[in-house]
Amino acid sequence: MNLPLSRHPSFSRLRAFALGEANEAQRRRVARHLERCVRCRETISRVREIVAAARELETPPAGALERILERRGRGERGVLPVAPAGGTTSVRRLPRIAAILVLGAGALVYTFARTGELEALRSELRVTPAAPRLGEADPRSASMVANMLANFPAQRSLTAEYLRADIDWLSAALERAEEIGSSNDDQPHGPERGLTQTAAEYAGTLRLALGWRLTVHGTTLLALGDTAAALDTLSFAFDIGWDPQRFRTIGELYLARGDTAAAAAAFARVVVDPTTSEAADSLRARLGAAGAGPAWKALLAEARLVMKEHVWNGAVDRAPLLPRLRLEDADGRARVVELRQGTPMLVAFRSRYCPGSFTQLDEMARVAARLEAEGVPVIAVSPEEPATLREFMDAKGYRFPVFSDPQRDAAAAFDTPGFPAYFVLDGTGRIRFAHNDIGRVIREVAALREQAREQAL
Amino acid sequence: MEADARMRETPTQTPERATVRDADDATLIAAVRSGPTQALAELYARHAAAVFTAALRLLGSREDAEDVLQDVFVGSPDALARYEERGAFGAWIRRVAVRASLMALRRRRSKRHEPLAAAGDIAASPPEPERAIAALPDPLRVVFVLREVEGYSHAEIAELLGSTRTASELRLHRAWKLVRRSV
Repeated sequence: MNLPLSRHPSFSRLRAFALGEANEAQRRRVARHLERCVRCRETISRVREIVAAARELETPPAGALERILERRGRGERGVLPVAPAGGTTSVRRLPRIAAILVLGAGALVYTFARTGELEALRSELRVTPAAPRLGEADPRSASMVANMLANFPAQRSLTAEYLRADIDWLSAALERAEEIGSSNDDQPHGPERGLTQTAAEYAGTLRLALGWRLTVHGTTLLALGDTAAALDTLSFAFDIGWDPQRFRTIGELYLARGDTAAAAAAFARVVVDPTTSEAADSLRARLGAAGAGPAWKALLAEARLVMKEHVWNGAVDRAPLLPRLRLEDADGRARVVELRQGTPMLVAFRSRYCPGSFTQLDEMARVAARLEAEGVPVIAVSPEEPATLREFMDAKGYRFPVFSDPQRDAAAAFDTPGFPAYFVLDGTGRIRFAHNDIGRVIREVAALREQAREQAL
Repeated sequence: MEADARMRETPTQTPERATVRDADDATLIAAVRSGPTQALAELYARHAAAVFTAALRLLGSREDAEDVLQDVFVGSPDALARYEERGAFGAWIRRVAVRASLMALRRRRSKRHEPLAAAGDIAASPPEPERAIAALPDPLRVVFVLREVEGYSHAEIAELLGSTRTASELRLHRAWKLVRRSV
């Protein structure tokens, strides 16, 4: 992804600068940036304010000393947890010179460790030595490097380091996405933003992509055996979007740790989701007592609310540029497709030559079959010629209706940013959901039908 | 210790204190070990605010923080037997307070469950930083306070909590995100 965010230092960098924890090179870089960035200056003063307030000493409650002496007077002798003797090891509390020495020594150790790791990499992986440095120069490659390193157990710590760098960058990107989403300006914010896409829609697409990457990192950390960090990353991703597969993974993790209450909260989200509800009985059975009774009912009700909120947060409201599409079907016949169907409808733009689109085709076929069984029209639109389309559909055994759009007129009418692109329309033919994740469609159609039912009442 | 400097200005003095108020920490510790209450009271006057603040920030509740404050000072004469006078006493008693608070937190958590993902909207109106920190979910608040208030490294936090460095860094990040959003 090419995001317009890399020019601001990440929040972690700003925090380190604000609290005097940045090393000299970072400090200089941030200082240079601050000269021309009001937003980051504000972040820094905010961090300092918050930390100063948190460190402010509070007066103990009146009479506490009397109560302590009274307890001692009664012969009470408390047992306290053991704390090791000696001073704190925090760099912040060391005198300045000591801190510089520690930092210098740390940097040396770090450099040698790095060199050693690079040597290991060279012989073990035959990766070009430039690869890890690539991650430093451009945070966007950090995840690439991490995913590559994750295959080699000996590089576990280096992998975690790159993952952290990328998680850090992802958080900054998410913050920026939130800002874009809440701004009302109509300026384009990046090459992926479609011409008719609003800032909020673009931000939604960004969040989706970033949330997905966090999920992948969580799964990688899990594979590395860092369960605590994996859980944290996954629940960080929890806030970003609704993904029943992710909730299931988190639930399984909690269950494996014996925390049935937390597992129940995660599984409740899997159960209320129409795409995964078939797992309800087996999941409930594994939860035991936590999967029944009023507490479980309350979890389900809350999960339904959260799901609804997530689904509608991703909603848009705009009309396609054309009310009907002129297309050719896979047998080469000219067809006119009305977009106002009186019921929700899915228009899917796909291409087998786009890897992202290709990998979703099987899922697309399942979703289409389910929607058609529910009376929801589905049309798939492809840039390929009818003859090649027919051949491909037959070879794969796909049954959903597919149309050819070689001139890309339909794609232009929907302002598709690429493949795949899914548009869920309401009964009046307006676009209510636009994204590139087939997994969301069933929920969105269900939400539209629920809304139509509510409006009919 | 900066905490000591600030505490001396606190105007809660008992008449007994006058005799021991000029003693340094080492003399006081020796006195506390041998038993007289005025030495404990002086130690309390010097360090109670730091202990109470650490507990309050970690637990997010004044009531629970006073319990920890009491436990620390009720237990301190006996715990001092284990104090080896390496490093500052102020730092030592703060670490005792941190551990006592974490124990209190574990007791509290076993009573009511709080999932990690419970972090949601903290409050409708923008709260003070202290309130925003108190409103964080326990796992995030603990890491935030240990790192930003008590100055522990991520490695130390990981060891204290039986967790990992990466988890600690992530929690700090998420905590900051929530705190900044709500302040």
